[in-house]
Amino acid sequence: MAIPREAYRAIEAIVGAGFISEDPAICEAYCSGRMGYVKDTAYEKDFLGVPDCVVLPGSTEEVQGIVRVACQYKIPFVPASSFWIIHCAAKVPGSMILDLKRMNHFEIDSDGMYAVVGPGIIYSQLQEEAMKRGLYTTVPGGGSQAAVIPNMLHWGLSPLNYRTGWAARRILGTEWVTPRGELVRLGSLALQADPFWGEGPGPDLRGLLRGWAGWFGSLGIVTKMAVKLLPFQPERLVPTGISPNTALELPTSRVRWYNYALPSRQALIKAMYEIGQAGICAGVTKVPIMWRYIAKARTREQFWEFWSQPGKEDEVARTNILRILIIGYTSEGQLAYEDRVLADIMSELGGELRPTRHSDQSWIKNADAVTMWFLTGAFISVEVTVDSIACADKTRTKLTELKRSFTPPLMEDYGDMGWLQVSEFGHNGYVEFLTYFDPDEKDLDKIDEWSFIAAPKEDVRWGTYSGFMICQSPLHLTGPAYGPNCHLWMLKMKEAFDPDHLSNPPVPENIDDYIERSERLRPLRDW
Amino acid sequence: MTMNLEDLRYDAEKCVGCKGCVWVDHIYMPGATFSTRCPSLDRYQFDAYAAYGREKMALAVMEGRLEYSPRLLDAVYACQLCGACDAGCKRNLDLEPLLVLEAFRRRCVEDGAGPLPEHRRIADRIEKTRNYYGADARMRGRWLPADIRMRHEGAGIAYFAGCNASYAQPGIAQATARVLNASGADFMPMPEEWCCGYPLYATGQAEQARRVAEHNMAVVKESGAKILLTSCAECYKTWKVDYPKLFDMSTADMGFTVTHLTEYLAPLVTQGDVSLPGSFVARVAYHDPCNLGRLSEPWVHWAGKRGRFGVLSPPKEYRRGTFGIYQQPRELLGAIPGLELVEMVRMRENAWCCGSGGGCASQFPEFARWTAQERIQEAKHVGAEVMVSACPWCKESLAGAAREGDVHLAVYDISELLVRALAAPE
Repeated sequence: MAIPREAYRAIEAIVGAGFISEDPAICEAYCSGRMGYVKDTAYEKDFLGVPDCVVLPGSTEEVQGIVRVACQYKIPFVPASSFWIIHCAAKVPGSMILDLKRMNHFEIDSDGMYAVVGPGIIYSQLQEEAMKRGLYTTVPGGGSQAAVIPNMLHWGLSPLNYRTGWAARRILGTEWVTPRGELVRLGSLALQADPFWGEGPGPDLRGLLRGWAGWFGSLGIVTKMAVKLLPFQPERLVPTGISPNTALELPTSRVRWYNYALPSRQALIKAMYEIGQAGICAGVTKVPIMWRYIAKARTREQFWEFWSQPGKEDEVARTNILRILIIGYTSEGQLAYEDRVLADIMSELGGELRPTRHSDQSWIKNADAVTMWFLTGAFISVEVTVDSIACADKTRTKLTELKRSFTPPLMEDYGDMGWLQVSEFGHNGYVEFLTYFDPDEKDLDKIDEWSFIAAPKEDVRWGTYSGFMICQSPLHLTGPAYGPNCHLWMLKMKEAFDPDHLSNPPVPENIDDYIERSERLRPLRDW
Repeated sequence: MTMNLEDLRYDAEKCVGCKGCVWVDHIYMPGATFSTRCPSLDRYQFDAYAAYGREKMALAVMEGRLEYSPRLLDAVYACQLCGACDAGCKRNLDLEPLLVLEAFRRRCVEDGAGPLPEHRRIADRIEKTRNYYGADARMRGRWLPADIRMRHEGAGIAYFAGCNASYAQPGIAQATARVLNASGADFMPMPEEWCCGYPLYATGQAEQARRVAEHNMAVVKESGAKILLTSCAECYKTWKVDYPKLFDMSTADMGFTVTHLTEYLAPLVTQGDVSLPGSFVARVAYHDPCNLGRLSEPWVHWAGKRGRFGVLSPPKEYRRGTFGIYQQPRELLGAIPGLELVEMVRMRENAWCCGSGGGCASQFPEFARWTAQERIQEAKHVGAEVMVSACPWCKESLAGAAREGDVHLAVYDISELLVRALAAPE
């Protein structure tokens, strides 16, 4: 089903003939699923499709023009940068993909400590440019290949948020094309051409833009964003090695990792609080045990050789290793001081320093999110809790218990309680509960039930806030439990700005829509 | 050959769309510029022109949902098969994107949709005259000057000049032969040299490639040579990797060793057996040929099964580009007095292609030239006055781009610098 000819010609006149196509081969390359996070679930296999048209805009003006044509001809459109999440796909017939990769505007103000980026800029680009100038940002767990703008609007979680704070707090002046094609400038951009500050006149619309853990392109398109950068330390982190063994060598007088083994889970949690209250460190995280085996394995087969060895359940139960990053931002003396304070805390709690490589493969400039697919070929996180440390700890316990009834088909992880870390000096605890499965599993229904119904219900039951409230939860299940009407306000905002539901439909109700259409999942709907 | 496109369905399906095939290794990410590794995606922008997009098209063809069309073939073939995608993907995953791309081309040919017109023309020329150019086969060995000392038979090393050095750039073959002379190598020209077959293999014309390979391998075996030496990266990789692939065997089982001039000479220089007294005063950027660098690891034949969680039995050894020939050319250049080696931003396994490979030079000359011009800009960015590579096709592509772009950058093959450096200063 092609988009109307008049619409095609109008958009072609906006972007040029070389940047629009409805050729089946071109469109097939944007086919749903087969890309990014949440791929390989039954949702991806059943629910998604091939767009009818692909457009590559090059500027905010072109985006506005395209969106206005879409509104005029009622063409659903899906904006995407890196296509790293499953929402970046055609979910209704007649959809048009807006591939934003050409919008790779980049500028950096070293004095003002911010960068201005277009939707085509990814984190590793931004991080390198920042570090060249003695500044830094945080690269999210989602991967250094994630585009900066959409990730900042959604979550932007990284162990380094421990000191830098939530990504949302670092959004400055922003340009937003609404689903009707109007241009809204937020923050200082509303008054002048300088995007240096996020708050502008009137209510802070950044909250509107972020919605409830992101809109995933369903409230228009952000075409430019200034992001706050923070002072880093001056020594260069030197890239070394040849793929796949590449890493940043750390200048250990200014940047160091520590692996401390705590005697118990309670001691580990206490350490998280104490470190935060001491106001030290740059990152505090407890990673799943299996990640250590991923790091050691040269191949998937070797990982399974390690992981299948006896004693893993015991190892998981007794291993409480806290991985800590210290950065001497201001001086070697700062690192030395924080090192001593950390050692004191660990001494009181019975922590033992374990050998630690002083290189960084996957936190500061890179983030090997894609390695999550290395184990089994498919992976899904069912939780990204941003709540108190206590709540995060409780959440991972509950999900670990619940997961037993979904294993198999989920991969056996011997009761590992997921990835736990601290944000904002202990004001937040974050747990990501990662699960792995065989994408060729016959019973993918159970995976879908686990991801889209069981885990969200567990959140509701225990009052946990998860950043997957939009992209992986039925809005009408989780919404009433939180607020209890914030989902209704969200839908009102959607209605106000996108009454024709053209901006990435049917987000934010896509999971609800999927469950309703799924013969297997609909019977499970009891809300 | 065992690997048809269906055999690689798993690899195409399990692409996660992380675009490791497109971005420079994030650890080495240089910032907002020179940040990508895929020429075709950079040029054409639509996802169909990247490995992850081609894999989706391949799946759709296998599933009968997508028919062949000029645009599909354009997207499949406007790709140098440079392997940057492969090295990038394999940093984190155990998948084979390059094998999928190669198999997709074979599928196009098997289904009658490919190859493209220029590829067919070259195949005809190779069939008739045993060379890429359609030139007189009798002229193939005419590059050899009278003053080169070599045997005509019975030597331990067979020198394979390749079509480009035999016909288009005989100076490279001559320089190589002089370097071998100076090193005291016992070598002979490859008897009955035919085109290595790369233009056939790379464009999906596997049957004809196999016939060429059969001939060439038989000739080497019959000659008694234990080493097949070349100074062409494209020939090197074709012999070392694609020939065993074509016959379901491993490189180690070929019965002779395939070696590149730089691989051969570097240890002799570093050990002091060969000295390079002649100076070459310039800031020189070394361009890693794809086929000598990330694509040059030996081929290890694998046959087995895939079980739960995709685990292979028996385990397979993945070629990730880690052990490519990166260091040896640099050692040689570093040994030349006066030569200042500067590294380009994208180097080794992240190197940007010269533009020439995969059949692009013949079928997509504008794209090939654009790719080379991007590389020239990268050399100028680091202040290079000279660019050196280790493949006649790279030299031709890069030199052509510098000329057309009116860029002041001299381009050499490493053999040409080595033969100058071997001469004592006057």
